[in-house]
Amino acid sequence: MIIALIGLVIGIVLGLYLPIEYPTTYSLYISVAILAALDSVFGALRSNMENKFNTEIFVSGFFGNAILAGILAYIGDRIGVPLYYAAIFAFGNRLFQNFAMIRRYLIVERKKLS
Amino acid sequence: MKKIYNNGIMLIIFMILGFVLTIQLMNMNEDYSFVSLKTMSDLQNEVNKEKAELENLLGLLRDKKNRLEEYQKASENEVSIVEVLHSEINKLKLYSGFVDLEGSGIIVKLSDAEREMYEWEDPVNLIIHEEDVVAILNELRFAGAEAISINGQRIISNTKIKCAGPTITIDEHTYGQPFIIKAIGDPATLEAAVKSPESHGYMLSEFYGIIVESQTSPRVRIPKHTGSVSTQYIKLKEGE
Repeated sequence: MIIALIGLVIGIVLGLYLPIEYPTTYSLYISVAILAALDSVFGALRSNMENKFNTEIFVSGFFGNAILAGILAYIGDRIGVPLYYAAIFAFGNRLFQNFAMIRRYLIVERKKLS
Repeated sequence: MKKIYNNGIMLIIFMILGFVLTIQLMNMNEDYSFVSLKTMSDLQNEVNKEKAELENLLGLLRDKKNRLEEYQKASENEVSIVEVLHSEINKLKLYSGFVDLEGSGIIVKLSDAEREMYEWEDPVNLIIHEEDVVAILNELRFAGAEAISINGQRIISNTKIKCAGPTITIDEHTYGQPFIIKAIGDPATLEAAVKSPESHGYMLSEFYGIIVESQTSPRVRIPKHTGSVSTQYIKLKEGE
């Protein structure tokens, strides 16, 4: 957990200080990819609480989902169907579901302690 | 060992997440809305068009500046201002149709149709009307014709073409068919203006059977305008 936070902080600092710019064209695709990545992170958090965490699954899901979501948004843009809605919907849905589970586990754990 | 490996992967992944997140946030500070690829290419086209127009205008500006410089140079030594004005006059004569011209171009011959009439067909369909001539004239101008004559009559800026029964009156002269239109310009473009499937000439020959013959030539001679040009109402605007 602490390692994850450290990684996040390092990443943010790097992002703040590295002057990387990409054309706004790709902004949408990257947004969707970030959403997918966040979904993976919440999923990992949840499976961690269920003691089912598996690094391989997390890594493959993190990159796979992000790339797939980005490509999906791009293809949708190309063929004129806003497919990125599908990605937003699916990953948003799962994100909230994961968060709900996490919340439940946390509350149950606290009740156990008290 | 396994734990260190896992921790390393976690570190890297969260680094990537934070990194991408921050970059996205940094790049999002301008107000952003979803733009489809098509809109983008449309806008790109528009921008390019505007740029081309700007280029055009700049060229015009350069032109005028050069002209001004010429005048200034001439006004410094008084002798040559006459020369400059002379060359200007010659140029204007060239444009307005008061000198004989020669250049590459096209000769179009329009004659009435010679086919059999259909039953109940109006014979009006078979003859050339002044509007056909005007339409072809206009299409030749679209194709970049720089000087045009019809049956040896130079077409100038205020030439009028009038229907006169089976004949056509151009300015004060009346001509019967065939009408021979000569135009100076890029021969290929001019020929396309007469023959392409969208053109009036094509329509005439395809649907009405009117004979449209065109022939490009490296040397088309166009005579000067012979009539007089009288003006009554136009006046020079003061201060121009």
